[in-house]
Amino acid sequence: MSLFASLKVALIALRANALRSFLAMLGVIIGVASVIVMISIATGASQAIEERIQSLGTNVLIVFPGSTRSGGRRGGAGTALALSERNADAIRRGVPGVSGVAAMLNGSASVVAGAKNWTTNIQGVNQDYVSVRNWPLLAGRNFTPADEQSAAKVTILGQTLAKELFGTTDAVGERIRIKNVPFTVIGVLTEKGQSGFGRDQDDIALMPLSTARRRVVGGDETVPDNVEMIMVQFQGAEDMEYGQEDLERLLRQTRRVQPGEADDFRIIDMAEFIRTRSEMQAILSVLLGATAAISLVVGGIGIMNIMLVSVTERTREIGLRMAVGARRRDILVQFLIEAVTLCVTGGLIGLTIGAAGALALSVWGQFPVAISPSLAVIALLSAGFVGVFFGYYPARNASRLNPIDALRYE
Amino acid sequence: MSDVAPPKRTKRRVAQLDAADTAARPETATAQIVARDLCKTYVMGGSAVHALQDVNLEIAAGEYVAVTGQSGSGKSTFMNLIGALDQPTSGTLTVDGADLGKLSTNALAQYRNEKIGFVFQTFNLLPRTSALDNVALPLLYAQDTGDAKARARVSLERVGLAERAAHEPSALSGGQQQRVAIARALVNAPKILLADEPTGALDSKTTEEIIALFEDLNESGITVIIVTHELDIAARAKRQITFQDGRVVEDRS
Repeated sequence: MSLFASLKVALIALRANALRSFLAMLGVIIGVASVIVMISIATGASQAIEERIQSLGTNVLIVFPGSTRSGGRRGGAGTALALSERNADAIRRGVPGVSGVAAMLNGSASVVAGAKNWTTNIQGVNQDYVSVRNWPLLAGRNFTPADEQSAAKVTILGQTLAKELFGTTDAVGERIRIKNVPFTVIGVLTEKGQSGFGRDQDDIALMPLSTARRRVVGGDETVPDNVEMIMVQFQGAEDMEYGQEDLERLLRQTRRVQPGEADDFRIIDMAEFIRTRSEMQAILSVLLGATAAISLVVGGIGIMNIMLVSVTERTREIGLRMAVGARRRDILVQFLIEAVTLCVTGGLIGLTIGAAGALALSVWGQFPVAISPSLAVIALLSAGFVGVFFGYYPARNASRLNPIDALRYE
Repeated sequence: MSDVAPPKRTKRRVAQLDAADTAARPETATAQIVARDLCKTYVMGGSAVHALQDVNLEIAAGEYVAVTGQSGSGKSTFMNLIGALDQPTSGTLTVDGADLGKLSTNALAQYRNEKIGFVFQTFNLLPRTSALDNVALPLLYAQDTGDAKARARVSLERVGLAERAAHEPSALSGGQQQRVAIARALVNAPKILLADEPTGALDSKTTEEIIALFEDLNESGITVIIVTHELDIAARAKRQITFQDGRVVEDRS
């Protein structure tokens, strides 16, 4: 018997008991739908994490000044607590495998453009900042060494700020006032989105470090070229692995930390930090996936049950088919195809419901969701597998019937 | 109900005797069905039931045979063995030179498909399936089907039901259903038509129609074997074989 003919026979049999077929499928439908939703959410979450890691910049170590616990020793040692641009320069020169070093100062100020004003984050940065943060400009130009030298009153705006002040019109070349000092907008950044902690990263105005120190943040008496943090970008993941020790040694040296004394700075691998945070999420998604898999198995048992009932009910039909020439294999294939058809149809319905559910969650629940075609294929394949696995035993029972016993079955 | 495994040693001796016996007896060249010491034993509720005991029979191609006897006499068992729906416990049953006891399950399925047409008392049509599709069912399992629908239609015409091709069994009368079943039995051009109480569920008028159809088919060369307990139907056949307690007690031509 051809596969096509078997499929036709299976469809007729399933349609004859439409409600029962549907109820039998329900387990698989729910199983597949939940698999789709769970995996979509899990994938979406891990993609979001990956994006956040990317948005921090790849292969980046962040250097902060030492914690305030070491503050009591500061005067005695004669060491400045703050990091400095000199530190940044030393890193750039002295640590192998470094591709960029961004130094930053943070503050906030009210910004005015025409009749509009907006309070935003001000960040004093050096030239490397946009490349280290993997944050290209949408329009305009980056800062130059000349801007830094002359503490030029120039600024680069984040997307949110640019929209608040200028709407859709091009901000480049416009003049704004920050803390009542007139600035020229020389560039606009691309959209960055939320940070890993939910802060809008696009609500920002960048300016040269020297300008920020003079106009917004204020200087440090002991360290005239102070910066609040330094981001060190390495060329590759391996460079970063080896570079972390070099970085530590170099900083101890340039900041004159005596042997045996604790570091007066902290080096943080942000990606590592976020990955740790995401581990919980990963465990959760494994648990959800396992639950979904269990529901698929339960659905399979439902299919097996209904197939056993179907075989018993149709014993005489099986006997007749054998009497007119059906081989055992024909009977086996017929019932196997019925089970697989039930499961794959259930899988398709479940897939549709699951995809719709995942979309609904992403739209109304603000979940990051990723639905991939490969996931759909996997879901259908696993539904088909459930059909073969749980359909085999009933189908085998059917095929092993003795023709005359089957025909006489009451 | 399960088959009793043949007690091997004694049976082998019987087989040898049988071989000598067969050699001594000149076999008719036209014998299509040959039963030699055919036995069938069931176990029911712990005790052995000898449904057939040492049946020796020959049926030639083109014969019209009525197999009669009371219920439990073994007549249906005999027919089921010819149709390869069941296996003999011992002895041999040869149809067209093939020893049915030695064929594999697949070969038996092919045998049922190509050589045998079954007609049952309860019709055994598939519900919610058109008459045409019911008739075409054996072709689903045939090696070379050709145009199955066309062949099914021809077969339906032969039983006079061409205009009912699209009807489902529930929309047909008993006689019509049995004629669909006969069309199904004929669709793969069988050599032997086996009918087990084919008129048992029909009234006298449709019974007559069905029997006339069997006679007609026999005329065209098909071996027809009807199992029945109705004597007037048996009388219409050219040969009557009567079973009692698993043995042939009468064989009249």
